[in-house]
Amino acid sequence: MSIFNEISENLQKGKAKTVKELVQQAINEGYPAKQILEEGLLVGMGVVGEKFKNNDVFVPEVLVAARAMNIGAALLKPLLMEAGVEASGRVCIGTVKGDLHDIGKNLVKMMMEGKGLEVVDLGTDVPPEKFIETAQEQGCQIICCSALLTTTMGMMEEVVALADKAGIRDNIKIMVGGAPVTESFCRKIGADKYSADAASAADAAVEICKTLIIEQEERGSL
Amino acid sequence: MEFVPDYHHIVAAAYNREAKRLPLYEHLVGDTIVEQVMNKKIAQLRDGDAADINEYFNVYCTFFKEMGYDTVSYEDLIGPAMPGSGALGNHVKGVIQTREDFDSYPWDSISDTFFNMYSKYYDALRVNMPAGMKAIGGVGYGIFECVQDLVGYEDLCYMVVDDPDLYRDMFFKIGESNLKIWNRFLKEYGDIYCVCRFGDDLGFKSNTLIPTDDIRTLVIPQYKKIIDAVHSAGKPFLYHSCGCIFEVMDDIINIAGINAKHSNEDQIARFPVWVEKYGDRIGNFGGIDTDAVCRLPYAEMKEYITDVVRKSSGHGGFAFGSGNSIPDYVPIDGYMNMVEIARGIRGE
Repeated sequence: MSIFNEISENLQKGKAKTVKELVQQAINEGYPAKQILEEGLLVGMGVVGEKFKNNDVFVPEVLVAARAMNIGAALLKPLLMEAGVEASGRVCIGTVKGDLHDIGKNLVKMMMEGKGLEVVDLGTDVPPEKFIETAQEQGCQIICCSALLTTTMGMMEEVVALADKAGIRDNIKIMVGGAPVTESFCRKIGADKYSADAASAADAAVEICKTLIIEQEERGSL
Repeated sequence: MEFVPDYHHIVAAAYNREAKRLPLYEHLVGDTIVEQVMNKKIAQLRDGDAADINEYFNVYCTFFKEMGYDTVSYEDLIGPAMPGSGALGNHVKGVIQTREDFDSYPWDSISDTFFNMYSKYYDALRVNMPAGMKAIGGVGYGIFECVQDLVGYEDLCYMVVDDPDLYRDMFFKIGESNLKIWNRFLKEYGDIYCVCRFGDDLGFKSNTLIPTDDIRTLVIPQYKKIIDAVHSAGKPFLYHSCGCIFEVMDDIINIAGINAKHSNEDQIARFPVWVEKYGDRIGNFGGIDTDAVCRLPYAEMKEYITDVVRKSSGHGGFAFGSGNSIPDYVPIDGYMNMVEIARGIRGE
């Protein structure tokens, strides 16, 4: 079994200590950090995400796998920066104003990180302005809004309205999710993407980032 | 004609018999809602002296009667009676993270604390219970919720692999502690309750919050002990859990032994689906998604409720109300419309 397979397998089992040791071993053996990340950690997290989407594993398995990934990724981070490797996209995520629930939001964050995205976590009770400011300041491709309550999901509409007003919709897409949120609600408020679960949200975010980055590069080359 | 409450209707529904009159049911109605309907401020009265508390329950019980319920929904929560609790809803770090925390935790004090905090409320509930009515509910917080309140959900997930023995022991210890509370509750206040209930949200939109095997081996055995105690007291047990819990419903029915189940969200399954799946074995309580109570205009809500009642009638026990509860954020017009439409359907 290759060291990357070993990293992936142990990550899927949530064995953080072993993952850390294996990542260090791979670094010592001279493998590029990008390869360790992509062929070891992200592959493992991808398997977990897919299983979660299919209800083959439960939230605890996802959380412990994500913890293992983060511990491994922490070793790689300085090496990735040194090598000039950038994340495949940047997302700012938060639970909307008036809502303090964060389990779903945290799960989406972990899944997105597991797909190689950089995630700026704004926490809970996030005012609409904060989403817009952060996305602009930090060059995010996506604003991701979470809500658990029927009454707070209306805040997502304000995020969309502020993004419209700021004229950033071409470069920054808005994703929404959470217990009361539906596809039709997403369309109604003019958001760009609704996802029913954390793994699907991560898949969608990767696609959106990819598309936006290509578009931005094309615009830049004109 | 004046509404005459009769709690036997909801007992029939809980025992999965079609009631002669469709009973209305809510898991919870927020004080702000009660205040708006009764045109009287009551929320602060709970913190007052005996006279204030009595006044609170007088208004609270009268509210349920005037709205056409046969029962008064009432419970007090175990959570606040557990020292250091709050990880479930108050976003504090769980008080139990290690074996040492567990061993030094004052488990034996919880039951006494619970009754020291709440006996005055149950006593006032008894005094103010309108004729023909009884209470539904009892002791709030189920096994899983209590565990989360002491550990925290995410930390509990890590505990599964970091300390599986501690993870397991948490459920058994909470089960023991909650049973102690229920036994005393049934002895001291069982007479005011016709249906006993606890809520224990096990699921979210697409699955259960912990593995189904853990629910079967760690949670349901604790449920069974409490439900057996309720049955021994001669009462049916109504179980409330939000989320997609279909994978464990058979065990909750067959092993835990619930008589009826409440909570439904349209994004998981509309209420008639629950009736279709389980109506031959248990009573089903609920009907309209709380989101629909908040959002639908009158005509659409009438269509929605009429459809639910038509599809859910004739399949055994059925009590109608929101799929979750009526917390303070529900618009009062939506709630009043829901009740008016339901009472209209039953000919009032």
